[in-house]
Amino acid sequence: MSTEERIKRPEPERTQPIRSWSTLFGAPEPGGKSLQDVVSRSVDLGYRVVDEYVRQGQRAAQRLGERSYRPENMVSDVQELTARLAQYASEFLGVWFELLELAASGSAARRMAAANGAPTGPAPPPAAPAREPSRPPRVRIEVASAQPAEVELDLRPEAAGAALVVHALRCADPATPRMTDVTLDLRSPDDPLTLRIRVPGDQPPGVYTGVILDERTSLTVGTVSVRITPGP
Amino acid sequence: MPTDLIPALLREYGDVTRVALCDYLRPRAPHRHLYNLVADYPRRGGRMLRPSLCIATARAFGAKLEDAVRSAVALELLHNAFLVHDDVEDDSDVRRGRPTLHTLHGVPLAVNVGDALALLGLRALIDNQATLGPRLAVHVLQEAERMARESIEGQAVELGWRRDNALSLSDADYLEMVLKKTCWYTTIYPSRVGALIGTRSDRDLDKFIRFGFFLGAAFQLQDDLLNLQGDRARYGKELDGDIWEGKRTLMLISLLRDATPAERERLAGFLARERRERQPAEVGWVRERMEAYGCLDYARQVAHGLAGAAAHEGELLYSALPDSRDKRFIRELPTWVLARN
Repeated sequence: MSTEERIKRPEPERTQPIRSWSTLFGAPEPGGKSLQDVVSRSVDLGYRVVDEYVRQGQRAAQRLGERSYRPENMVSDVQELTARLAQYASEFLGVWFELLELAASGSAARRMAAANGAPTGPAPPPAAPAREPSRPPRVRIEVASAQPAEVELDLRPEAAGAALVVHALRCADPATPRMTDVTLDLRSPDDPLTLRIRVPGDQPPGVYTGVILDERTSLTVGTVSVRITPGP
Repeated sequence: MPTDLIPALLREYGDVTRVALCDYLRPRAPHRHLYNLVADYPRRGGRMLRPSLCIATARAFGAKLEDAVRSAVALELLHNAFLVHDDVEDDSDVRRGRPTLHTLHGVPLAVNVGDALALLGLRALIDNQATLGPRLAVHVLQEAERMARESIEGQAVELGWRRDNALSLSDADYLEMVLKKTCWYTTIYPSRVGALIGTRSDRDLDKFIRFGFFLGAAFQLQDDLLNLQGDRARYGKELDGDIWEGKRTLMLISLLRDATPAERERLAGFLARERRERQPAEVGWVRERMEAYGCLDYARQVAHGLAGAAAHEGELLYSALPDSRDKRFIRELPTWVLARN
């Protein structure tokens, strides 16, 4: 046996063809045929993926059968679904049981605030015993309205000391005219903020809501909500 | 070409959703460690595509705007819950142009905030009873449960790929993952719930899966491309972040398929390391190889194909409806998802 080292071929740089889109279908032809092929192939692949997915869903649905939505089944359905959604929540059991109770009793605890359908907020949970170090700024509210008006203002502590702007108040129904004469003024740092709202005489009853922004950062620092009810 | 209609309706329905969202994000105790943080991501803005698609679909089918608002709010809250948890899972640094919640406040608080956002979304869905009645509200809740399940399953698939350092994935694998992880909550669920509210019937909802899949997959591909080529100021996330995180995007799958054995081995080593152990030069090399092999162009062409299929499926679904701004908005979406930057 020869002791000379045998001549070997160098290791190939690659062991399979390059399959980038530009070479997948051979050299590109005038008119971009290979691009067209990639588009066709991806659409075909997409249909195969989604159709198989739908078929799997249909088979699963056939196995499970139709669910009944008779009123007596509704509560248990809500409980089952919400339970599954809440499985990965850790420290919200108090809220979770509260929600279950609402669903089970069938009470619309947070109905629309007024006939126009503006959504109301969730009921606040019991106050925590710990006090927070920062407080929202003091606010004076001045309302000029010929109709009964109820104002609700939420300001976050970050609003303190910030230059604030309030946007026009609007109903959920975009056809209802907005309430535009709303301002927030701070005369001096020692005075409270003044929220002035002038309600036009012909403003339709309803709940009008707007956000209060920090003018510098454009971050939302509060909300203002005005409920107009028909006069006597 | 997309017109100004899409930005206009995104603004209009986005504003309506944001105002209604404030009801669920009111300041309350404990402020510092929970509710201030809960409001953080929703207040950072966003395109509001998901709630707008939900409202537009409901209105295109004849519903009143207020019938769909709470479902839109729930969707936005759930979306933000997913974002908080995704950022922890991906160890992302930037979200909507600012540091992610867990980098600002730590993982334990961020995970708890994600839980809180999910439950506030659940609350909004239960509040649907007041406007939709119990039967329809349960249907919407059932859709939300499915959407959440599909999204979590899709996320598990992708996280599993990264944990197991999967290297031999196909385009079909990618599309199946995107169908579950992205399409369900971005486009399928908003379309199905909008149609459910608009028609008051859950018949034939499966046909929205096709439209939502093609639209959502094109959206995701464009998002992945923007991650590599987007405008840093407008994109709002970390450029090249997907490479840093080892995400199995179509571009990476394509590169793994096309690379030489030596390149593939180097790539496998890069992907096997933890994010914090990866170096900028390696990320740059992966990015350069993607360009060299035409992986970005390939993904762009696939996105065009999928958007075209979305337009076709959209015509089948919506052509019989009377003309409206909402219908035109939906029809323009496939073009818009590719044009956005």
